[in-house]
Amino acid sequence: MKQSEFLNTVMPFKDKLFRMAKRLLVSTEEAEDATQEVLMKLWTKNTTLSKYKSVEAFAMTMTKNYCLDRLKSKQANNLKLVHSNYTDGNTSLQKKVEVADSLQWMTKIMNTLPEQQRMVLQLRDIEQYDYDEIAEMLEMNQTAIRVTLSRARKAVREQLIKKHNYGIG
Amino acid sequence: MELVKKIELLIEKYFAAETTVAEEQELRNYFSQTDVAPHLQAYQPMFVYFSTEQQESYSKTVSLKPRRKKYLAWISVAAMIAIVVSVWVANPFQPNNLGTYEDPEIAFQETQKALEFLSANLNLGIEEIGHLKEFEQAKNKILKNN
Repeated sequence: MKQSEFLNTVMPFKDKLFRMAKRLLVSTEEAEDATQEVLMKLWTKNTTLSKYKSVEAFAMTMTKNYCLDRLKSKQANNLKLVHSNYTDGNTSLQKKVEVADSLQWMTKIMNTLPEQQRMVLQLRDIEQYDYDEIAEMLEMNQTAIRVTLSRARKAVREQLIKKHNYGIG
Repeated sequence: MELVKKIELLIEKYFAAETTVAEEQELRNYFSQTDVAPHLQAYQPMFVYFSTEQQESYSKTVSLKPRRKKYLAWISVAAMIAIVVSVWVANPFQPNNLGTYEDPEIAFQETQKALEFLSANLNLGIEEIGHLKEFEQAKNKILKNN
C-alpha cells in the first residue's frame, strides 16, 4: 500500500480514533499522541493491512488497546487534564449557557464510568456503530455489549435525573 | 402527543439497549430541538452531548515519519562513536616508535657512542663531587680542635 493510498484509507476514521482515545484518556494532548501513535503503527503494518476485513475496526481495536495500556502505565497517571470546550450552534442564545453547563456535567458523568462502559457508549451512541462492528472492535460478544451498554446508559440516566431533580446549576 | 408517546417508548427501549441505530438517531433529533416535553427534559443533556461529541475532530496533520524518540537512539550512537574516536586519537599509552638499525656493526658503533656520551657526562659530575673533599677536611679540623 502506498502512502497516499494509506492516507485515503485512514482519513475517514481518524477522527473516530481520536474521539475514542479522548474518551478513554480524557486529555486532548494525550489523545492526539495516542492517535498519532496508532496511525504510525498502522502504517508500519501497511503490507499486511489488506488482509483485515475492516481496517477501521482493526484500527479501533488498536486504539482501545493502546489507550488501556497507557492508562495502566504509571506514566499516564499524572497527565489527567480535563478539557471542556464545546461549540454548539443549534440552540438559542438564552438556552446556550444552560446547555453548555449540562454538557459539562455530562462530561463529568462520562468520566466516572468504568472504561468498558465508556468505550461502548462512545462506539454506539456517539459513533453509531452496529453491534457486530462494536463486537469486533472490543473483542467481546454482542450479548455482553448489549448488557454493558444498557448498564452504561442507565448509570448516566441515574446521575442525570439526580442532578435534574436537585436542580443544581 | 403522538410524538411524545413514541419518544417515551423509544427511551424505554433505548435503556434496555434494544433500539436500532436509526431509532437512536430519531431520539437525538428529538432532543436536539428546543421544544422538548417537560418530563423528558432530564434526558436532553445526554442526547445533546452525544450529538456534539460527534463533531470533535483530530486537528493535527497525520505524519508517517517516526518521531523524536528514534532520533534520540541515533544521537546516542553518534555520541558513543565520537567518544571512542577521541580516546583512540589521544591515547597516552601509545608506545613510541624509536626506530632500529639493520646492520649490527653500525648498531654496535651507535651504542658505543651513546654509552661514551653517557659516561663522559657522568665523569663530569664526578669531578664536581671532588670539591666535597674540602668540606671533609674542614670538618675534621673542627672535630680535632674539640
